[in-house]
Amino acid sequence: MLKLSRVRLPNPRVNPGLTENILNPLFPADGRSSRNAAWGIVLLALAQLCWLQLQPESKFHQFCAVATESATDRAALTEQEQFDRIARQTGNGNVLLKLAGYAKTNPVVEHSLGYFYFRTSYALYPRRVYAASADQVINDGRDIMRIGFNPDPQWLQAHDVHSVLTFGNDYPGGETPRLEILPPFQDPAGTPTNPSGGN
Amino acid sequence: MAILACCFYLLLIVLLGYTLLSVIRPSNQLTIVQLTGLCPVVGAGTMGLLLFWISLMGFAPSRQVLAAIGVVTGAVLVVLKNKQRLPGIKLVANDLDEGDGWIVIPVGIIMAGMAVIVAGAVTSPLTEWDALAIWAFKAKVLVHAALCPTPIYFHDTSLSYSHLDYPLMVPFLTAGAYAAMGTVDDQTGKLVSAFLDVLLVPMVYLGLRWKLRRLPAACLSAMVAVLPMMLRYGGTGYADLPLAMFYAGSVFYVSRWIDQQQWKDLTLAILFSVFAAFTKNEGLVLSLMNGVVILACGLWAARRRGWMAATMFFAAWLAMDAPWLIWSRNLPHTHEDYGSKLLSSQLVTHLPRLKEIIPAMVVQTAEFQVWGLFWIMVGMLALLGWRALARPYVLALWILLGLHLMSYALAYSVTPWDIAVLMPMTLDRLFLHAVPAAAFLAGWHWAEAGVGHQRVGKMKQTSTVKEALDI
Repeated sequence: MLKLSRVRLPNPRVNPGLTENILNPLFPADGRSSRNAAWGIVLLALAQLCWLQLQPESKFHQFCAVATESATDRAALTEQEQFDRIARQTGNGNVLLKLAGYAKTNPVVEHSLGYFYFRTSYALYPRRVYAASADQVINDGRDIMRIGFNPDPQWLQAHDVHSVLTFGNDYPGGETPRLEILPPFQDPAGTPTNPSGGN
Repeated sequence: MAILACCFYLLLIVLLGYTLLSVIRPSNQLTIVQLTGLCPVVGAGTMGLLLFWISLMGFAPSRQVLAAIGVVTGAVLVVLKNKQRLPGIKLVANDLDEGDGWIVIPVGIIMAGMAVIVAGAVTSPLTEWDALAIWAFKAKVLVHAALCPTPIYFHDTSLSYSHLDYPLMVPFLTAGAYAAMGTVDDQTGKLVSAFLDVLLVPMVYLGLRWKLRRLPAACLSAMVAVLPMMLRYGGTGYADLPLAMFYAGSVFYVSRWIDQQQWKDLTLAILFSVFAAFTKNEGLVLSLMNGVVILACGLWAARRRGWMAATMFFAAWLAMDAPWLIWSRNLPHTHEDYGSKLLSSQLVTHLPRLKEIIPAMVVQTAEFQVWGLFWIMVGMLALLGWRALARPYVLALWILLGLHLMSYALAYSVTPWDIAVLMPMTLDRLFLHAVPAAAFLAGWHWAEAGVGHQRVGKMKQTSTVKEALDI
């Protein structure tokens, strides 16, 4: 009982039933100044965030720019639209992705090669874009260059590959992929085969 | 026509959420924010899980599957209505405080932020790398074939860049939209992404409104709505904002459980944790942390109820997440494979890398172009309302936030990528996951500094007011 009476209980007026420490005098529990300071901080932060959205590089500004851009600008194909258009031209069956010229070795194209593979793989699914066999790992464009996939005609026939996309060339001026539609496969009897796409 | 079908699908999600909330019954009346925020979030998580379970049974998302879900939902609603178990909807507030008229300003800011996200989503094609290569690709795979038998895609390592082992919540929700539309139209499908992403704001508001009056809660929610990161990633097809949204629900209801020990809060905490675990691998770790904190609080308070809650949490979490854990156990991992690395000796050997990682994380919080004054504001409000630290639910949330950031720092320490390249590319997105917890902490500390419900002199704690406040 004696021990209990010696315990210094927090002053409920200063600190309503909670802990007591050096912050008490700085921020009293019933302090109007604390309340105003908190409001000031929140409003300042909110105003600053709104101001950020008025800056030219903000998403809001970008959206306004897109909404008001001219018809000419809108007609210009973006990179992904170009890739999608190429993917649409592949017709039926699966597609082989081949590297040519500098794209086989030049690390500068890793990024765009990776994006091209990701984009066409997505656009063509459930048809496939083969840049490696199914047990080889591709995490980025560098892996595609490292593997340098170049299967034989039997493999292409077995995997229903009907067209080849060639990425890269030997002359400067771009990595625009070229599309080559393969001739129909011949079965041993000489009859063209044309299995349906997909895997 | 495709947009109309997509809108019907979103309506079904809201209806599903309303039905589940009617069963759980977190309150007798749903406010307009709960109806437009909580119902869709619960509905989205449930829809994603249902489509996954149904796909495991051999049925890919289709109009028939959606119709079946709609019929069952309708039947449950009829039964609940007959039993008079449907919660009412409170459209008009009758407990306005002085100064609440100013709420039109933050609400206007929130609407503007949401409009930018939605308009940006429906007017631009799918261009972001991860959105396209990981999430949208998986949605396309899932709508084409059921998960039983496992589609070839999931074992084709030449598609490893799309992270074959990532959880499937967002892909299934997108696949559901494709099924409703009857076609794979990724431009219209981005409506689902925008729908999920903007729901973070009402979830943050609900968490703040628990302790704050309307106006301050709306101001903090408006800050979240116009964060540059929110607008940058909103509606782009990433899974980060959906994860943040589910995580917001989970930490809010974990905090409420710790404070009020209501079983309905625990039920919602479990549900949101399961949704988060099925959204991203980070969510799996974060949801387990929720369980650990519930257990720790139970042990600390030495309550039998606490033990029971932790047991219930882990049992229910495991029961609902087991199909995913079992089905995905043999999927090929990428060279990242953070799960295995964090559980191996690599964790210890790579600890010195934290010397680079932690300062980079601290610097990230002060990136004005990315976060404005958000993180600084959280710190200052925590200081002004420091007394809130004595409340167990605030302390628990601080612990959750600390564990959250620590887990990300450790993941960076074992990454196979070059940290100097990886961190600038991903750190802002990872911090986005922590925004709801930080916003709640800011609000709950602020409440202690003088704008909480308990300090509103004029407010009478009548049952009506209590119900309105009971989120």
